[in-house]
Amino acid sequence: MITLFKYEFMRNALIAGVLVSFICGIMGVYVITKRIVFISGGIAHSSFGGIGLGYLLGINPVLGALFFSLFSALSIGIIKRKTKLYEDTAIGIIWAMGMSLGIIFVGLSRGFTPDLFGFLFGNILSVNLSDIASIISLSTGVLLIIMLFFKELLIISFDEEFGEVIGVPVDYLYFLFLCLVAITVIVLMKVVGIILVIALLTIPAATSSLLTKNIKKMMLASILINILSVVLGLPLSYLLDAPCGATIVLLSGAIFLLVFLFKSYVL
Amino acid sequence: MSKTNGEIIKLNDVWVYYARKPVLKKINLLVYNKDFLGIIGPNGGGKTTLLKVILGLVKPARGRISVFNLSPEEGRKYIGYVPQKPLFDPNFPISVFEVVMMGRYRRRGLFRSYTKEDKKVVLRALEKVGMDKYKNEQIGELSGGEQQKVFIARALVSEPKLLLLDEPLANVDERMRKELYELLGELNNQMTIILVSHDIGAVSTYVKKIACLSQTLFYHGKKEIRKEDLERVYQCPIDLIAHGIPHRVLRKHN
Repeated sequence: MITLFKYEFMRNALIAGVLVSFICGIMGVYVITKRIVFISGGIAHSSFGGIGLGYLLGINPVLGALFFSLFSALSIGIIKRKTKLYEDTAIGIIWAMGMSLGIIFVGLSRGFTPDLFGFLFGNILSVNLSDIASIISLSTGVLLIIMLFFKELLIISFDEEFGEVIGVPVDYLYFLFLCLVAITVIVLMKVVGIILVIALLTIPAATSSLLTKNIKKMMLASILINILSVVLGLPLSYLLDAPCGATIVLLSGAIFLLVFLFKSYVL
Repeated sequence: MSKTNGEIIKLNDVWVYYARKPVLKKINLLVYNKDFLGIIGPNGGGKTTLLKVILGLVKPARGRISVFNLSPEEGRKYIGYVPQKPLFDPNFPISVFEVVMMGRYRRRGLFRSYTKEDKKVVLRALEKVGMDKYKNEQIGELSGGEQQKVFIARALVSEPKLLLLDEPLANVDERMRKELYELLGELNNQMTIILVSHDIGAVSTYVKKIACLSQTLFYHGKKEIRKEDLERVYQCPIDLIAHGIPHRVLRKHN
């Protein structure tokens, strides 16, 4: 296992995996306590439209994805706040529209679409130093904003109406928060791909929610579980000759199951 | 806040519709400083909506509202609100102490942390409602009545002049109900209280004035409710609902 990490791509993968665990663990706790798992899923999937647009216009697909994910985050927010459509309806529409646009754009671009599979299913082994730099900068930005608005986010996650009464700028923070989810999706995309982003946001946080009822400890536990899944998942995928992203996600799911069974039948 | 003859809430011809159906019709209401007003009425009668109108969370289609001579959005800074069924999931990772601390938010606002003074105020409020021993418990571990006390403490730490309580006695046992009323009676020395309930039996000796609400508000600024009003509000024979109500509540029928 040690020898495995003498390869540079493996080291980069490990570094990237550990780094994304922070943003993933912390945002994941909000995603599950605020019950926006499927909003996050919608934002993630619709960003595929941006990947396609990137190929079509010949710009960096990640930039396209970032643009699309921010746009769909704001759209879901507006639909939820300002219209009478049901939230899950809105998510369904945006989710499907984004994916369809992506498919059409990729089809129209006709040319070579390298990494298309990587964006969908993740390709952590292709992470390079500039990817690591962008993971660090985006994560730092998101986490700083979380720290800055920690008490507000706690209030609106718990009881939005009371938040409004007590003077929290509820609407602005909701939109801000969805934008943070959109950025998180982009950060995680490289590791597990658009389709599995939702797993990495949900599973470790869900596992930690079984372990503690304190939000800060939950975030810490969630980060550690994430790191564990990455550190074990990478060599495991190598041994099994299986795709990394999916292996990490399955491992994370196995940890959840173990903790769940342990809590239900042993404790 | 200017001088107001002690009128702190004024609702003038207020109408609210949900999907074109009127929920509140032509509501006129005056609430004076240090009132303890109990509003009773059937479920769906608009009680929660009325509180939300006062808080500025629901905008009326018509009518004027002033809260401490301000708009509801402005005036709500003087209001402590105890919602009906606090919208939270019982597993939410938050302690009793942290829940009450939320009530101090307005004192701090964006980019400022809670202070030592805030912590003291929170502890004092928890002592006042008798929940200080549970301060580190996760909120979902508490019983319905205990949670209700915690939410009262959360409303109190904002140091309100008016306390709005939405069905505070639902899911609360007899002993806890008595305790809560004693607490509210004591708080009424310092602040105005409006309490809504669907349960006529919930009205206690501590309540100074009673109104009935079922889309329309029946209120005479007194402690008695007229039998006709009750009948109209509940739309059922009065004997049925009068069962078990202390006699002083109902005015003698001539």
